Amino acid sequence: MEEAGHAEHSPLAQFEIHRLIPLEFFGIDASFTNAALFMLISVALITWFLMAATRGQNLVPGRLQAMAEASYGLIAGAVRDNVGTEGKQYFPFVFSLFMFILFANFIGLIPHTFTVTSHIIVTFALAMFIFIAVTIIGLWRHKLHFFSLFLPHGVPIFLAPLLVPIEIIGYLTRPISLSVRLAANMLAGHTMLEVFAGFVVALGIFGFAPFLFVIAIYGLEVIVAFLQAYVFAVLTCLYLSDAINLHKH
Amino acid sequence: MFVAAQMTDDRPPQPGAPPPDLGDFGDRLRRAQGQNEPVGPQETGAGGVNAKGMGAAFRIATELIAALVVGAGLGLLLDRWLGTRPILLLVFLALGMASGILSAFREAKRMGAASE
Amino acid sequence: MPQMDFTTYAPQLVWLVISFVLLYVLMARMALPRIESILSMRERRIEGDLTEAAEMGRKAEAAQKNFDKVTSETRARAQKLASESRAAANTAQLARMAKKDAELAEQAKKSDAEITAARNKAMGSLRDVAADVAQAAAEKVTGSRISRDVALQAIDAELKARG
Repeated sequence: MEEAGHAEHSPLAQFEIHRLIPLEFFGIDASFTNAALFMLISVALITWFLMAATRGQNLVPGRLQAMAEASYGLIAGAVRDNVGTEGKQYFPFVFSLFMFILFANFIGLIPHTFTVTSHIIVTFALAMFIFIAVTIIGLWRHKLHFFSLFLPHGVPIFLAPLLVPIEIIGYLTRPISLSVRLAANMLAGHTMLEVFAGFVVALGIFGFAPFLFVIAIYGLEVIVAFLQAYVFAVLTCLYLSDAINLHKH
Repeated sequence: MFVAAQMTDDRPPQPGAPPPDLGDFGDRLRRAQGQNEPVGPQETGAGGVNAKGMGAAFRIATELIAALVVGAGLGLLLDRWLGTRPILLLVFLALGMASGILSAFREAKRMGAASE
Repeated sequence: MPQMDFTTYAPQLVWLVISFVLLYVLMARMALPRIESILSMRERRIEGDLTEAAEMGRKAEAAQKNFDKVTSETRARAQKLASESRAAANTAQLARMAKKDAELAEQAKKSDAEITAARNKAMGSLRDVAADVAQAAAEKVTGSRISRDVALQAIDAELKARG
C-alpha cells in the first residue's frame, strides 16, 4: 500500500507497474518490473519457508514444519478428494499454484508492497493455462468422448440444442470467472484498505473509528487471501476432475 | 490429594500382585492404529469463516457476469462469421444468462454440500 | 486503472512464466520430496511403533497365558499329589487292618483249638472217671466186676446217644 495522505494519490496507485530494469527480448517487452520483483519474492519466500521448515526433518514437527505439512496436507487432500488417485501427477502443479497465489496475496497485505494477484492479466494467464491444459488432458484421455462433458447425463435429446451451447458457454466461462474472482477480490480488498487507511490519516486523532474498521477489514482480507488461493486450487482440481473423470460435479 | 492419587497410579506393580490387566490394551492399540490413517478429507476444510457468505455472493455475481460476457462474445463472433447480426448476439446473450444461472446454481449447491 | 494498461501485460506475462516455472521446479524437485519423505518417515515410524506395540501386547498375552497354564498345572499336580498320598495312606491303613484281622483270626483259631483240646481232654478224663464209677457201681449192684472195656463201650454208646 502506498501512502494515502496525499490528495493526488489515488487508492489505485498501489497497483501501478513500474519498470525497474527495462529489458527487451526479440521485440518483446520483458522489463523487470515491480510485479516481477514481487513474483520472485513470492517464489523465494515459498521456497525458503518450505525448506527452512523441513530442515530438521523432525518426526515431531515444530510450528513451522507443522505449517508446511498442513499446506501439503490441505492441497493433497483437495487433489485426492476432487480428482482421485489419478490426480497425483498434477499435485505439484496445484500445490505450486496454491502457494504462489497464497504468498502473493499475503505479501500484498503488507503495507507498501505490490499485489501480484490483483492484476487480471496475471490471474487470467494462470486460469487460461489451466483451461487449455485441462482441455488438452481431457481430449488426450477421452478423445472425442470428451465432448460428452457438454451433454449432461439423463437429459432428453431434444433439449440438447439448448443445453449444449449453455454448457459450452459455461465451460468457456471458467477461465474468466476463475481469474476475475481472484483479481477482483484482491483489487477490491486492497483498495478498500487503502481508502480507509486514508481516512485514518486524514482524520488524525478522530481517525480512531476508521482505524478499528481498517483492522477489521485487514483481518477479513487475511482470510480472503487464504480462501481465494484455496478456492483457485480447488476449482483447478474440479476442472482436472472433469477432464479425467468426465462426470459432472 | 491430587499428587497422592497420581502417585498411586504410577506405582509399579507389586511382585506378588496379579499381572496387569491386558483387557483394554488391545482397544487402545486399535484406536492408535486408526489415528495413523493418512490425512482424511475432514482435515482439509478451510475452516468455518464468516467471510464465506460475502465471498459466495461475490462468486455467484462473477459467475453470472462472466457467462454473460462469454455469451455476448460468442454471439458477436458468430454474427460476424455468418453475417446474422444481431440475431445470434441476442440468442447467445440469453444462453449466457442461462449458463450463468446454471453455474451459479451449481456453485450454490456445491457450497451447500461443502458446508454440511 | 493500472490493470487496464496493456503495455504492462507483456513484461508481467514474461516474468510470471519465469517465476512460476522456477517455483514449479523448486517445489517438484526440492520442497515436496522433502515433505513427502518426512510424512512417509513419520507414517512408517508410527506404523512400526504400532506393530511393535501389537507384538508386545501379543507377547504379554502369551506370557499371561503361560502364567495361567503353569499355575493351573501346578495346582493340578498338587491336587494329584494330595489325592495320591491320601490314597496311599488309605491302602496302608487297609493293609494294616487286614493284617490285624488275620492276626486276630489266627489267634481266634488257636484259642478255638486250645479250647477244643481242653474240652477233649476234659471229655477224655470224664470218660475214665465215668468208667471207674460204672465199674464200681456195677460191682456194688451185681457183685461182679465188669471189664473196663465193657464200661467204656457203654459210656461211649451213652455219650453218642446223648450227642
